Amino acid sequence: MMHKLRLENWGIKKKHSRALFIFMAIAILHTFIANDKYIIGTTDNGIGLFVPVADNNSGLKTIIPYSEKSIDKKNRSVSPFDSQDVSSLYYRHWLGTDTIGRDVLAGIIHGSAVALKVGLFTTIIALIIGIFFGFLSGYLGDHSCRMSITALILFCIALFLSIFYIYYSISAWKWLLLIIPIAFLIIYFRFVNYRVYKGIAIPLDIIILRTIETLRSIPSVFLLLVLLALFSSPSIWNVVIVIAFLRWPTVTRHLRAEILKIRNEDYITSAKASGLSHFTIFKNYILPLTISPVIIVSAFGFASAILLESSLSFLGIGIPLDQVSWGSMLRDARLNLSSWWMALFPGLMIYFIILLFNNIGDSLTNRIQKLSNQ
Amino acid sequence: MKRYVIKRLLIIIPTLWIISVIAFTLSKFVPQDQVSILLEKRGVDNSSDVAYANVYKDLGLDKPNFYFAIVPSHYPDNINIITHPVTKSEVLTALKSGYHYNDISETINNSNYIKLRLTEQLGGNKNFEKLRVWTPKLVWHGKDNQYHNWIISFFNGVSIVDGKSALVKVGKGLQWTLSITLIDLILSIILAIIIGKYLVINQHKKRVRWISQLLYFIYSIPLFWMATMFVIYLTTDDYGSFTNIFPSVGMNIYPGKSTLYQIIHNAHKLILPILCLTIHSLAYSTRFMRRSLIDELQKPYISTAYSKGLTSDQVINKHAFRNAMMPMITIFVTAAANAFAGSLLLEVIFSIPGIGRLLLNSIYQADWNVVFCIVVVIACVTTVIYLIGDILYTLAQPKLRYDA
Repeated sequence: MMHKLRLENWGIKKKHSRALFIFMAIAILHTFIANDKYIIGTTDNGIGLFVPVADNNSGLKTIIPYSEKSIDKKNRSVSPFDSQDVSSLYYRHWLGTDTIGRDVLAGIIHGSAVALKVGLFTTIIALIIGIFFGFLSGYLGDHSCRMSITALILFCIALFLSIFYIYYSISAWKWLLLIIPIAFLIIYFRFVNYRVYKGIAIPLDIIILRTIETLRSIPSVFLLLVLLALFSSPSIWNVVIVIAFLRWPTVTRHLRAEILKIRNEDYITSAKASGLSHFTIFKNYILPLTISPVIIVSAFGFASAILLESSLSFLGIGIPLDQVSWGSMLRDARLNLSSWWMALFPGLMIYFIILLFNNIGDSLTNRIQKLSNQ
Repeated sequence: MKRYVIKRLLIIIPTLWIISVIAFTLSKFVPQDQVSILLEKRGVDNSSDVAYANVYKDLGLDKPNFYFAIVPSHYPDNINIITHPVTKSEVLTALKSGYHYNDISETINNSNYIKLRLTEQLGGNKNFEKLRVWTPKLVWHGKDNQYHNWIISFFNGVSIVDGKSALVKVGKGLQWTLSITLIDLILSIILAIIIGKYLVINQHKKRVRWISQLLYFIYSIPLFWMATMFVIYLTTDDYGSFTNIFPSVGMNIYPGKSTLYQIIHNAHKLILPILCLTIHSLAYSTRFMRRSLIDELQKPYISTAYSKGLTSDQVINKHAFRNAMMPMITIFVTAAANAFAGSLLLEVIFSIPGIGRLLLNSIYQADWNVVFCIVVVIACVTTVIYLIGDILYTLAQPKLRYDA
């Protein structure tokens, strides 16, 4: 089983999977690589993690003795090639410092954590939402989801009342009211209307396609800026949620196109005839055959999420202003045109990561094309 | 064909209507209070009730939000007639705890506006009982509402920064943005067709492989980083005077002249941003053009053409090229949308007063009237671009022309 998990089997080149591994390792272990504290150190009170450096403390130092926020007052905007006012080579700023004396290398390493967080969680959330709506619009389509008139009216009333009371109530438990319409749907489709081909067909496909088209008609950066500005306090999770909200239509579109190709195959019909539930058919017969383009889209989506996040930090919207990311380092660089190192290195990191994920996406595409030609 | 276009046009209307409703709804959830910002800008004392109420009514905020509303039965028909935000939030708290509005309105009229402590007063008075069961009621407001006024004035509002009309500001910004994106689109599409064809014709030469690798690398460069690097290296004297090729960022302002005059007289300053945008979109469209031409050359009719004895020039130019141009229409649409997004970043970096920089500045200054005007205008422009793309696609493909 283990050999199947190797990335090379998916057509990804060895150098790319290594680079991916290094990026993930740096992003996860960023506090252990660049920090101005001891990783493990002894103080007067005993041993502890992340002990601040002081005269009577001692301990294990990190590879880079600066964190992204530590300020070196003696070395302000020094270039990597300048002579620096440091006690030893260990304390040298290998990639220079910015105007207030923060180490660029430490900033890059801490910025990779932000990039990974945004890329990974955006992709996961977009995948979950995208696959769910892909199931609704591609598999169920316009004709499979049927409700009797009574059930539809009852559901509409339940939905309206729950939204009404959630909006006007001040109770902390008001969100539990949403359970009522959802439970109604689950019970109805699981027990009452199990495979009944009458009633009103709900045009799920049309509804979802129109929603996607509406979302598409505003360029994503514009929509992103407006939506993020509506949050009262900036946070990285706002960025993740909003980017994922803009990414799911891509997943749904590709999944839907794939499902439409195989939806009317004989084996699907016979699976339906043998009485399997829609969910089982989707999980066991449809998803394994249609997931590959979705994975490719996710690889490119990872790159575009990182790009969007860095553009947003570059504009100073979204993540908190004091949090260091690659984009925010570039924003500082724009204000100091004479310090080339502040712009070059964070930009190179964004470039390499985007190139990496584009390459991975291309390798996956080639692999899947080869498999489908066989 | 006609039927298809009409159908397509009819779909646009509900889409734009939904966008306008969503933009309006979002504008009701903005975190800042527009009236107090406007008062601060005018230098009027913020705590003055009368001044606040006047501005509030001038902006039309005392009207109901939408054509109808569904509210609990003990709510007032139109909550917006309460002008002051402190009073409003106190009244809302009292309403949400279940007190009837008729009881509250007496207390409001009898006491000073600010520092009502409404719930304490009501709680002390045993005549006013809390409502146990809330029932929804439908209130019909008719045409005199904020959404209707916003729509019939073409999404126009007052910019709280300088008091000018939002639509005029957006129109000026759009001229800058459109001129940049149009030049970029034309340049990149023409160059993409030429380079893409060159790459395919000479696909076995070594330098062509180098060029396509280079294009792939350019494709991954973030646009805003490329622009920043250009600004750092090519507009300053810091790295030797020979690198100072382009004029420094920032536009020359000619007061009292039209926007078109300003654009033409700043043409030398627009070269670098257009260059950035074109390089960026060129990499994307050339890759696509090359791909579609290669795909086309693998089809069976190409071998037929060769077997008729045609030269490879004839086959590519007369047979494959036209068919390969079809997907370029899709690319035109995508590139247009990308160019809008890209011009936003470039406008900020090169301080061009386009629609993107206007959006960003308005967000910073909480100028929400302008922000939502931009959203609707941008949605209209993009929808029209998609429509043009669809129609071009139908025109170019004879099969679709007759089917639809």
